[in-house]
Amino acid sequence: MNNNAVSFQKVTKLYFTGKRYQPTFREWTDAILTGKSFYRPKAQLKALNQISFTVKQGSVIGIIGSNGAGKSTVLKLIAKITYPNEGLIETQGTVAGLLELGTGFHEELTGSENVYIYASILGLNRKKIAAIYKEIVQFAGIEDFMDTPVKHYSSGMYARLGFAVAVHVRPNILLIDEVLAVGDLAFKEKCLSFMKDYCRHPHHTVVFVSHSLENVKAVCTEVMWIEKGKIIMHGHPAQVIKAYERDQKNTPS
Amino acid sequence: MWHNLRTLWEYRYLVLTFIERDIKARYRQTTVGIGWAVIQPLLMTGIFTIIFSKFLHVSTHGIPYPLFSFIALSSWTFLSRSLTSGSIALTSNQGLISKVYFPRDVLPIATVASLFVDFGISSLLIPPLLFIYHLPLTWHLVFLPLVLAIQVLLAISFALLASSAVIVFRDLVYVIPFLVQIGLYASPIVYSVKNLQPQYQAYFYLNPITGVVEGFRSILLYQEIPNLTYLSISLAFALILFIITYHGFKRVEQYLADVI
Repeated sequence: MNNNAVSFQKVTKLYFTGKRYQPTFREWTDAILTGKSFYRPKAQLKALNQISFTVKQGSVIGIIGSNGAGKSTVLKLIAKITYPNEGLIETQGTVAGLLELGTGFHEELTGSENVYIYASILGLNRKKIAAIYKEIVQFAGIEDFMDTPVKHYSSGMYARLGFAVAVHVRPNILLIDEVLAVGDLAFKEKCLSFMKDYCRHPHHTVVFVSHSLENVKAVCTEVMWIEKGKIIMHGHPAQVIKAYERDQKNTPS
Repeated sequence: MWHNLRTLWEYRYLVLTFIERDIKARYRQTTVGIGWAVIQPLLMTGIFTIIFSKFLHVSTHGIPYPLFSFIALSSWTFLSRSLTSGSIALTSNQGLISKVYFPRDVLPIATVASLFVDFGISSLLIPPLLFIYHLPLTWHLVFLPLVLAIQVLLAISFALLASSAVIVFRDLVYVIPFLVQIGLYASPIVYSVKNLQPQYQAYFYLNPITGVVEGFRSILLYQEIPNLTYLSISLAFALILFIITYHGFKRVEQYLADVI
């Protein structure tokens, strides 16, 4: 049996660059009629360039790299928010996560209304949400503000609620993209230990993108370092982080 | 296509959530609240009654003009807003589309569904109006579900088409309201097809909205069986448009997060 949670095979993702970053009418009609991705030689940036890797179920993989290396693109491809130009991506089970703070939150509506909205965007029905609602509020630790419109929330409260919902949906593959930065220390600790525990379950996997090497070191069982759409190193956290740090010191920013 | 529709069915709770969110957010800070769903078509009916009945003497074959136009206007408001609100269903949810996965067809469909709630609320006025003007409800009501179903299918196709066409060609956001204006006069809303010279009537039935609106009028105002040929034209149009636009939408969906 195949126990890969995520597998990428020669995946390439292109984005338009330059002034005309929108596809033209002609490119659209071609894409719609043929079902193939936009193709514009020389004017496309390779966000990911023929990358292949697999992640086993039960691991916490950290993805590190400079800004614009392609980390978030990897998450978006796993989540099926966007599709590759070339290559094959396979995932096992449900995928959910937090790619940005406040995603799916409606400013005018209250915290508890937003919990229901966000959880159903992540694929839960009302009954299931009602069952985990208490846990979510408790985890977020903002019981007193659940009836306040979220536009009055602080950014920390936003982060707490968003993270709490995403993790309680209990997807097979949990995606976390650099969202812990705004929480206070106590909440950060809570999240990190949650991620560690999460993977005790044999069918759970966490993909964690962060610039905080400390956090990555604390929770990840493996680390992948990517730069300019290519994998530089993939393996044991301590080794990859050490190599990455050495490289960062040598390159003037 | 079946696979996509099944996925959509799995996300039916999300459709409900979006309907609730739309309606709550739409009326939350207003005093009259959901009452606007009734006030808007009533005001339109008032204006149209003054212009077309009092000044222009449009014939309705004995039906009181307010009732004659209100029924058509409820339906027209629903269909035309499916186009205009549908056109921004995707672009106004940019944040969601670029950050979370869910079948994107949920968005235009939820838009139509929340408009249907408004349509339902304004339709609550129809029975009392019929009563006031002494018009009976007859067995012809059995045709109502059919006409309603065609209307909804047409609205969904409009919303799917408008939402994805706007992604391909942004200028359409400004073109669609203009087309809707034309549509109001090209469809028998303020007049009846029966008023037109017979040689032109057939052309009007090529407009799928005609079959629906005249269908409602036949059932509720004239107590007769709706013209089934014309209704079939509307149904065939709606079905073909749905299949084509749904395929097109699913194609556009793949690139959505990259271009929105």
